[in-house]
Amino acid sequence: MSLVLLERVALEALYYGKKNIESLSKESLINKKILEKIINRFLKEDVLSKNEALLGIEYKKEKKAFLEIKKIENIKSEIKELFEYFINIYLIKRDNLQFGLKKVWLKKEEQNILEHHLYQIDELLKKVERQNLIAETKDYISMKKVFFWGYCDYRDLIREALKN
Amino acid sequence: MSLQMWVIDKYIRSTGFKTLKEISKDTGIQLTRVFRILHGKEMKLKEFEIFQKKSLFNLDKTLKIVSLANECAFKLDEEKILEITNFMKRTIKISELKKIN
Repeated sequence: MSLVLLERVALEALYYGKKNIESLSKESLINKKILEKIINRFLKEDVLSKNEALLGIEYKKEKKAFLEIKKIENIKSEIKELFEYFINIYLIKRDNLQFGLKKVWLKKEEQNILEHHLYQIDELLKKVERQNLIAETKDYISMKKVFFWGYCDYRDLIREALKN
Repeated sequence: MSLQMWVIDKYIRSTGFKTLKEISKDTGIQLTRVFRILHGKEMKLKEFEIFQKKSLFNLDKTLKIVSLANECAFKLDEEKILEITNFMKRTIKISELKKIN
């Protein structure tokens, strides 16, 4: 079982507690007709359960579906899809988005400074993530910010591009 | 989705015609009949053929993707073919999810 973004959003909204389809639709921005299709699939795969009108994630057993979702190939596809949408919207409305892509030579001390800043970003986001989990009231899932960060050696990308 | 709805959907996407009047004028099918068909009334075979023929108007686009897929099957290794297959499956899945009929 691999997830597309709309399915992932629906699942993420349910991580924070059971919801009915109306509130799920409101917080995810996904209309009810689409959500119904998503939910039906998840109910069929035993990923969700439904109690009266409330939907919740079935954490009890080690689900085949959850294991499949976590497979590298499926995660790769999800990240690619996410990034594709990001690039699409960035290229249309540049002003409202932060995005940087640079290819630079770095001296050792510059690399150290960069890594230090990335470490700080990472620590901040981990802290915020922990706070998100324990907060009593949670905002809509669609109000989250999406961050990409990281760097690599250009040669690794070139080698990847050259692979058969 | 039934075959009938698929062919109507394909027709609308191919031609861009959305109003009953536009569809009636293009297909030659009476307006009230178009209304009934779009609301689930079973098509006659002749009507189905009209929609099918009209929706294959962009046949060259359809043929292009099929011929490219064939080329991929011959030229690419298994890993790449799997990657493209998965991409196509996901794209279809996303399209089906967003289709509200």
